[in-house]
Amino acid sequence: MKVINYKYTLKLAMVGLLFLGSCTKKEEIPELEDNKSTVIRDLAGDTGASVGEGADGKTQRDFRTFLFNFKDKKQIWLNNAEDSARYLKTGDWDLAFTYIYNSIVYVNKGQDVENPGFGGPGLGNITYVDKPYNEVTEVTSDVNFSTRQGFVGWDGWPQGYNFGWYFYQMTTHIARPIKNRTFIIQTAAGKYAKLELINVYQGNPPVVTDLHWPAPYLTFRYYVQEDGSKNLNTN
Amino acid sequence: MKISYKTTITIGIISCFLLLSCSKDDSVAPVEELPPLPAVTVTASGEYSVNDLPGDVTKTMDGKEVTDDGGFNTVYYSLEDGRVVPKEYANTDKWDIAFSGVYNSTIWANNGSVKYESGGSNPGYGSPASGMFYLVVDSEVDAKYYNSINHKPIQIPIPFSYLDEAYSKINRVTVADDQFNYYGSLGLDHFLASGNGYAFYDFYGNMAPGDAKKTHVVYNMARPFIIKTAKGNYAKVILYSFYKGKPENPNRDNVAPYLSFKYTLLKGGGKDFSVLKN
Repeated sequence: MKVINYKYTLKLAMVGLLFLGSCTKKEEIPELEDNKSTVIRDLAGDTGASVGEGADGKTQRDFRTFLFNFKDKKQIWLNNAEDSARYLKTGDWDLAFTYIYNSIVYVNKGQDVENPGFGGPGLGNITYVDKPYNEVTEVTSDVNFSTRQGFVGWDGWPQGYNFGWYFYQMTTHIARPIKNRTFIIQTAAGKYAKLELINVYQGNPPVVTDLHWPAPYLTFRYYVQEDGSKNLNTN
Repeated sequence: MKISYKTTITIGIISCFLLLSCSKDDSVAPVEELPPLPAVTVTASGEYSVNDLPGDVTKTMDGKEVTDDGGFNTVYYSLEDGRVVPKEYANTDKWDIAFSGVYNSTIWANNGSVKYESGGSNPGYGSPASGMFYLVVDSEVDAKYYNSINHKPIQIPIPFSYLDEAYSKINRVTVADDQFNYYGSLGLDHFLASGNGYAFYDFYGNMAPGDAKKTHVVYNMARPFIIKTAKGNYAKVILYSFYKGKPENPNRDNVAPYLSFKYTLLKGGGKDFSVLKN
């Protein structure tokens, strides 16, 4: 996980120099830790799969799905039909990271026929607000969970109305995370939570221009209100 | 030809009216003449086949990423009149089904009310039509060729006889309008979170390992759909193929997009397709 190849380190350094040269004030990189939220950095997804040709050490094939449990931060891989049968229809997971670069993220919504957890006990739900994570302090009365989608991925895909967590740039084929978008969700157990999906690229770089930057390495943070209330204050 | 002549006259009259009623030149909106429509080929209820309807054949996805939209121009078709409708008629009720996106594989009914927060919209946004669609998933027919757990076919090709079977089994429209989808579009089956769809896209060629000509091939499934037309009538539709010549077992050598489909239209708002059977 910590193996950063020389080329990228060099680029990072160059980007750093560029920043130093062009900015008079120090760039404020927002701190992810707030002592209440859980921050997950560089969680490796299916790094052996690729969409396109010519990626070293990768095979063109479907990305394997993994499940994630908020409470024990556990990653559960679905490597075969047995794994799927064993885990999908349970309340043991809160998020499923699926499809290309494990970037399409489902909540566990047992009532939704299109959900990986369909038929299970999951009480998941999702919606979004375009506000910084720390400013989302409660589930206000105007928050309505989406009846049309139980996942977030590429903004506007596959339906034009789907909200996502990144833009996909046609010209560069690079995913650009949407800043200051916070997801309000319900966990598998129905508890209110907030979630920020931050990056799919290793090291959570602020800007990626290299198509072959190591991915998927997921960075995200979340806060689950365990008492069942709608209070999501993490300040 | 009579129709286009009349249209021209009407537009002429409107533009005269505008000239007379406006005192300033710059307030006169430029009047665009709509192109003529092809001849009507459908005038009654019945079953009709459309073969090798060209999509936007000037575009290709060769060398492009899966998530590229390719810039394909949308194709509009009138089930009611049996003709292709030029894009200038997008915001009218002259069409019932549109094919957009990559290889024209995204299917829309004509609904003038749908616009998204993100800025996208139904291709008929602004039209007076309230069209919608309903995808029919027949689990009995699906079981013959499809694994509903992993959402992949058990076999390829998927015989057209299965497509016909699922289509023929729809004797009437049994679902209420509020179960139809007016808001979104109909696409590929379980491809990047798409849910149930009408065709399987074998991106990696998983169904025929080792055969390079079997990657990136679309196999139409036995998934007919019901369209509520711009006029408010019902039609059932089965889409066979995106490839020229309607091959049952396509590969990369086949040329796309050429759409082949069959439909049964009920003029007059009826819901019972069986009345048309002999």
